[in-house]
Amino acid sequence: MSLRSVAAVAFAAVLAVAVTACSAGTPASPTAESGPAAKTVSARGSITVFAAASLTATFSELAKKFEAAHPGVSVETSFAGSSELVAQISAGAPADVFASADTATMAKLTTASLVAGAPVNFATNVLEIAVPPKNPAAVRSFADLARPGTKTVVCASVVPCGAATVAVERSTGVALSPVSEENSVTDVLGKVSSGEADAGVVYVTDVKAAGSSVRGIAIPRAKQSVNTYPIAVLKGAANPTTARAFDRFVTGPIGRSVLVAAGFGAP
Amino acid sequence: MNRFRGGFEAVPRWTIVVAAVGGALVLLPLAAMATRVNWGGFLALVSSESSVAALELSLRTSLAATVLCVLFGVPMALVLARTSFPGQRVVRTVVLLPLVLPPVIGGIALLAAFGRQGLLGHTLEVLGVEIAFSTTAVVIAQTFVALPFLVLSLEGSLRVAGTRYEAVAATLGARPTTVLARITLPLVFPALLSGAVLSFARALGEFGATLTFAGSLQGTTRTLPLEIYLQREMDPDAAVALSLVLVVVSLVVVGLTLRTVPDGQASDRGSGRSFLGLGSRSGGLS
Amino acid sequence: MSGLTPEFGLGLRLEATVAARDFDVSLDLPDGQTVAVLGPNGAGKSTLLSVIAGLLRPDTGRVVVNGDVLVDDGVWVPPHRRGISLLAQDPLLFPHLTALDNVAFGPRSAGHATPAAREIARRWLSEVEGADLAVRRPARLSGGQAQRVAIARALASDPRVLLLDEPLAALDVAVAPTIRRMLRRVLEGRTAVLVTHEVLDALTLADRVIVLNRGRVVEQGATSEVLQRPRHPFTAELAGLNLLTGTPTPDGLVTDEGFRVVGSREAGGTAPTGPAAVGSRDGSRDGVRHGVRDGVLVGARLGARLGAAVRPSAIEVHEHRPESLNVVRVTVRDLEPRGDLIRVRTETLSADVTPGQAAALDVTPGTPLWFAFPATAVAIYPL
Repeated sequence: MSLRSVAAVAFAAVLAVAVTACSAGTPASPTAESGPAAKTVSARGSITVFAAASLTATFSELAKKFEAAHPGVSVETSFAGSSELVAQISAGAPADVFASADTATMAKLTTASLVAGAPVNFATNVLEIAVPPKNPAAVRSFADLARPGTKTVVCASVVPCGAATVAVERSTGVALSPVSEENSVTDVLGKVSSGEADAGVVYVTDVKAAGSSVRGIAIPRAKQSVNTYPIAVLKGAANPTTARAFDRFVTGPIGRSVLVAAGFGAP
Repeated sequence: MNRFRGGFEAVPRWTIVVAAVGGALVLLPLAAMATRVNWGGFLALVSSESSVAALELSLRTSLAATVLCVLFGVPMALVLARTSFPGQRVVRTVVLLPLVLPPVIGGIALLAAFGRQGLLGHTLEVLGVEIAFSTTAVVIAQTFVALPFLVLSLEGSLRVAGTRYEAVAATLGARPTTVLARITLPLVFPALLSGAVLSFARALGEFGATLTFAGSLQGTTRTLPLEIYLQREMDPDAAVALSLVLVVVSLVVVGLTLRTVPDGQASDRGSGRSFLGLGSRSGGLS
Repeated sequence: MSGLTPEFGLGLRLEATVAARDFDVSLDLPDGQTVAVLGPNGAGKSTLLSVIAGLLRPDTGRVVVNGDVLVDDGVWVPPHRRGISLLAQDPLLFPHLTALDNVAFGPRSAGHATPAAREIARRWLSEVEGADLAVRRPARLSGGQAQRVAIARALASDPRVLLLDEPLAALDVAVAPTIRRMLRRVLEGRTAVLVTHEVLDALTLADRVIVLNRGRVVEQGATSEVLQRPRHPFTAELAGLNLLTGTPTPDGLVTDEGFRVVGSREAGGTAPTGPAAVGSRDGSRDGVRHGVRDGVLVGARLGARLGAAVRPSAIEVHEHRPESLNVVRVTVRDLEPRGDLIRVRTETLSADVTPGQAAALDVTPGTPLWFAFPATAVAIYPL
């Protein structure tokens, strides 16, 4: 601990010119970081929303709609892998709302007591097979992915989409031998749309968002292992009132319609 | 190398301060990372099956990439340094491009060339060569990003060395290939060695192009950087521990070369001449 | 002129132009002779060597060695197949090889196995008194030792022609005489081209001299001949002679400035003696050349231009006009120490005086003086 503080002091000293208020100290607990005084009580000011990468399109749209409905409010969004976002929040990143791609990841924050109140599930997503438009390996079912010679790409089991894939493998009894286990859905989708891979296992919403660059093939048994998306206001929120308003907006009718249009299911 | 042992200092004092800041910028994050290492579980973390597989794959592919870099880089450096042809500047710029290119772009470019749907993909498939998702793809990606280091290092050294020894060797009856093997390469050997080590280190650290071009599968394409990136999602302790391993491996490799090269020159000290025997006269046969 | 070889005879025959360097030179060197190439910086001496060695491709020209055409229209023999080796000012020993392996480099390149090549190298190292240097790296050799090894290396490849590019210029004055003696020995009977700034090198090492200026041959001939009867100011300077040029008069010549010089035209016998004569190494050859030279002289036509050579030491310096045949009014430009004498330079002539004389005359730049010299001190010859 003493080494760390010495290092911090030394670094702060030598970089005095470049130091800004938020980077001066070593990561402290988020409560210590929430210094700025509480803002106004009604839905006003600005909030920062951290959301899973698979929510990029929908939450961008929702942020705009929310701003339109609440003049004077601005919503900043930051999209990344859910685990990555949890790591950032734990390190004290200033966020008001967090939407995760699975409950397990959200659980890490609740365990760490960084969430205000209980998370609310607002959407579900299921896996689907993505193939290049011409479907060169003639994939028709999940079992076809295990055929020798079929180059299948999946998410690594340590990331949410990979965990879901493992669940589908278990429920179908089909053991895949993928040629690559990618870090994110985006990487899987990229390998399929570029034609490098014959098939990939991704979320149904990803196939929808990818448009004509890939074709989707449903996995009936995947319905048994849906991914549930929870949203929560964070304890360290600088603007909790507006944060709660946004939370309600996402779980409300407008949020629902935008999410359904993107292929998400009801919670 | 410390020349500040009293007496005249050839640099203004403020440069030392600024240099210290720059040094801190490099050292501090690495030292900070070391403080994050979970030493209790370190051995278990770095000796897990996936970690060992990733480290082994990384060393294997980086070594192969280094061999390819030397194989292709030596002739490239020779052509760039010793010949002149129209468009040479453009060629040099293009060859050195991977040095400044974001690796992801390298990956996309490699896909466009060697991917299944790429320029050569079909031809290669007919020939029975499968590059996609193979260890070969990793080596190609690493060679792509590491080659400029060797070419750059060697070309500069060849230019500095000049052609005077080579001219003498030719007049003594040595064929061009003999001159290359017995005169040119031995003369620039330190640069060749340091270029090869830089290439190896760059290949070892390759991430973006590999991820884009080769994929990520344990034992086949998931090199240490990819493993670290993946572990970060799930097990930050393992990621930190593996990062430390990569730092140490890189340090050892770079440190070894920095030690070997001056040692090799030590035997030639005392004559007041530089290692390449330059300096007395520039013209010779001009 | 003697020494012209037939087209397919032994020796070196060259004519070459290099437009980019305004170089246009032809050279004819009989087998077994050494030619010294003199000339100011930038005269084209190195260009000449590079063309012969094959390191530079002439725009037009022809190089023939011992009847083998090395360069011609559509012919280009690369350096390594020419059998022409090069000894430069800098020994350029390969720093990563021992002295022995440096010398063995040529024989190995010629296809000898390593032991045989080393045996040859040992012989040549002994030849240059360097047997004890065999295992040393170049960095551990002194300048003179390195140049000896370089000589052995150049000779070990058994070259048909040896090129020497100021081989003594980088050496200590203490070492140069030894190496010069060594070169004198190994150049005996060898076809060689020696580029030098030093008249002493030309005298001791070469049979013939060519003088280059601005890429052209301005003088050539037997060494002693050229140095005793310079026709070009650069050669005169190099030979330490005053050169006056002009048109013939019954008893001498008149310079373009109108200065009448009276001298002896009985060539040969009255040629100025001095350092030029000291070093000539082959009396009988000199004799032959003089004969040839005399023949040319006898045939000099009236109206052709003549040169008059006067040694600076033969010039008397006076404060007032003396009674003498050759008297000229001069103004001192500068003074330069020359051994135990002082050289007094003027616009036209230079004279050597003792420090005592210089003090007595109170000579400083700008001092007006009279220079005088006897007719017997003047050698007059056609240009």
